[in-house]
Amino acid sequence: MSECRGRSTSRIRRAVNNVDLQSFRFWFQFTAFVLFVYGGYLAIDLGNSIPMFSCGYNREGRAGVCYLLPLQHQLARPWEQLFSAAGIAVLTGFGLFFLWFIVLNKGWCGFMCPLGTLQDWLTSLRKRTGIRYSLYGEKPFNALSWVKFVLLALMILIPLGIGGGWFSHDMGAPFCQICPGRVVLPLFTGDTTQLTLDFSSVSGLVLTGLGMFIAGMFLIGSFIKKRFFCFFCPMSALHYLIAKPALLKLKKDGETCTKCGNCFNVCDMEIRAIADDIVKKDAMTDDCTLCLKCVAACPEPGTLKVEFAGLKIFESTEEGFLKRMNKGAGCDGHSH
Amino acid sequence: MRIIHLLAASAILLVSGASLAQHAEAAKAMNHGGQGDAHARNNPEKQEAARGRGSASMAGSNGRGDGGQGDGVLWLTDASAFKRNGKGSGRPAGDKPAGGGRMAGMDKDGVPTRRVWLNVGGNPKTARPVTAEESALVQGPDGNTREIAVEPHGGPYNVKFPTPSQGSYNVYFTRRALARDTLNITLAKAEVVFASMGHGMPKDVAARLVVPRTEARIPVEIVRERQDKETLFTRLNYGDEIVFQVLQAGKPVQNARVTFTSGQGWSNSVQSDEDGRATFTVIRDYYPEDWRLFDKRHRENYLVSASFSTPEAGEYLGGKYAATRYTATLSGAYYPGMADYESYSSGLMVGTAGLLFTGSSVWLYRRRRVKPYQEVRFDE
Repeated sequence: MSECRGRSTSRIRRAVNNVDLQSFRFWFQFTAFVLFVYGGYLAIDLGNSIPMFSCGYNREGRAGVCYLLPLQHQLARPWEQLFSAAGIAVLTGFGLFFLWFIVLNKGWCGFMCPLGTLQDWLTSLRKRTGIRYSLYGEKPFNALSWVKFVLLALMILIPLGIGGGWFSHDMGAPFCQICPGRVVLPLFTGDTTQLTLDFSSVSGLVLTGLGMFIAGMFLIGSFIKKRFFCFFCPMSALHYLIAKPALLKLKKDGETCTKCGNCFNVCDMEIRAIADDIVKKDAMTDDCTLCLKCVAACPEPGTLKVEFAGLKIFESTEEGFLKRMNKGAGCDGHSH
Repeated sequence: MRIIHLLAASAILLVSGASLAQHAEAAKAMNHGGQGDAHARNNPEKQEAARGRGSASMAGSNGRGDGGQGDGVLWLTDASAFKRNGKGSGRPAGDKPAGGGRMAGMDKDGVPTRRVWLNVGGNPKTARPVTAEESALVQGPDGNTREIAVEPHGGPYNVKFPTPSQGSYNVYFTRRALARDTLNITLAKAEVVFASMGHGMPKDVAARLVVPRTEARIPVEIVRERQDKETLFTRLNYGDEIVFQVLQAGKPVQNARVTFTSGQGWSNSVQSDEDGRATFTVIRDYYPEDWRLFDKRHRENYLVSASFSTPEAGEYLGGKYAATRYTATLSGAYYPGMADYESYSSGLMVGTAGLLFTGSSVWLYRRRRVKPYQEVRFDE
């Protein structure tokens, strides 16, 4: 009996490790996109602490609200309110956000985020047109990787400044004003109200102008550079800062790594450390979206693996690697 | 700015029942900063003069002024006259400073509170607070009504009431007075919305919190019908059409004279239909000197009044009367709409600029990196 159960467990494990990650991810992302962009029409409401860009400006269709929107609103409260009992609401919101987050860690970016999915679709479109993609290269990568932390800091400090009376309320939710998700995602439900410039104040005009300009950059940028915007995303920075207790983990066994570079070649975010670093066990970096392409592209058994609460759920195997390579890799490498 | 004034004048056309000629004059008057040679009906100063000469014909006419509501009309509002006039602390007579670590707008138990003031005057811009002693009725979002006594403090009449839950609160003030053989019943009503946090509140719940309610103890009242998809967080904007219903003991009143007066004193009057309904369109009457002074949260208060007489006879405080005259008022707020300060064309232009900038930058970068073909010859 136990032998039979063991055989079936190993069959499931083998099937999972041999999975066609590209198809699995496409359908997972598609379902998540439909859920978070149109779920509101089915009265689905997952609250306002969602750890990815389920855009709150998509008023009709959203099935939940990206946590950054209520966070900025809450931080913009007058200090006397923020630092009183009413401030508990901020902590409650963050607590809920944290609970959502620890389940999937940065998997929210790689599998659930509608804006991330949209970027992946633009990449697919580019591949079909035969236009080659762009890379940052190592120097610009290192120079730009702090931008998301600066945006995160500004996103917190500006609302606090509003609450302290230093800035105008017209600067409320400053990151949302410049986020391409605010402009692009409501369009999927036919809402064009975000395609405007706000002339009611100078700060409103500057922020909405920046928002529209960045939305234009986003469309072209995501077309030629994989996951163009994720590199600058303050949500990604926030994720990284609180990722330690997360349940979903990307682990690497440096001793079995041959430094073949496959993992780096398929990485949409150009994270060189995934191939170079053979010391750290936790392979997730600040830019990682936990898309798991690196695991799918690794030919060494058990070198890269995904764990959920300490349980191994997906790992690199030679068989899985060969199967995916014969089918077209199952991973969109730099050679595309 | 001149173009904006002309657009504004066109918006005035939205006032139901107004004639083109009047509005052409209004446009002219506004184009001259409101001090041009417009007809007196569009000019409050001239209206005042006309009233001073004893002209009764101005009362009730469309245009700017008291709109026929008269200077004696009583109405409640949650907009403080102290703050409106830009002077004073905003703390009304009879109120103590918050103190004790509690915040303004909250009672000693930390429950949010709201306050309404009683004003007199048909023009919200020039109306002034008055004193009174009558108690007020406050109906909460749950439909329960409680009476709130007003302490005699000698200052302007104001009522402070707790708003423990989000929703729309109705506040009523009733005054009865006998004048010769007519009993005058005045009912002033204010709808005060308390909304603190919208995130996470389902739309149907937010809509249920503002359904119009009536109070059985009130003899006559004006009810504002809700906009399509109106919720707790909906604001009335310029250009919106508002429908009011005049009710006497819960039944619609036909042919009541209903007057709508905007925050700047533009007014229009109509007769209520068989369902007691009167429809008006909110005009845009907010024009700052410079676009940088524009405030998208700028609040204007409208005032609606309805009056009618009935042959009801009886006795009041020992005096007999042969007829009853009812006057009901309701005030509310309206704000600039998105169309007043947001531009699609500019937005799309900037978006396209971002798109072209990025696209051409990538193209030029790639083109610059293309190395021209160079033949390599080996000298053997």
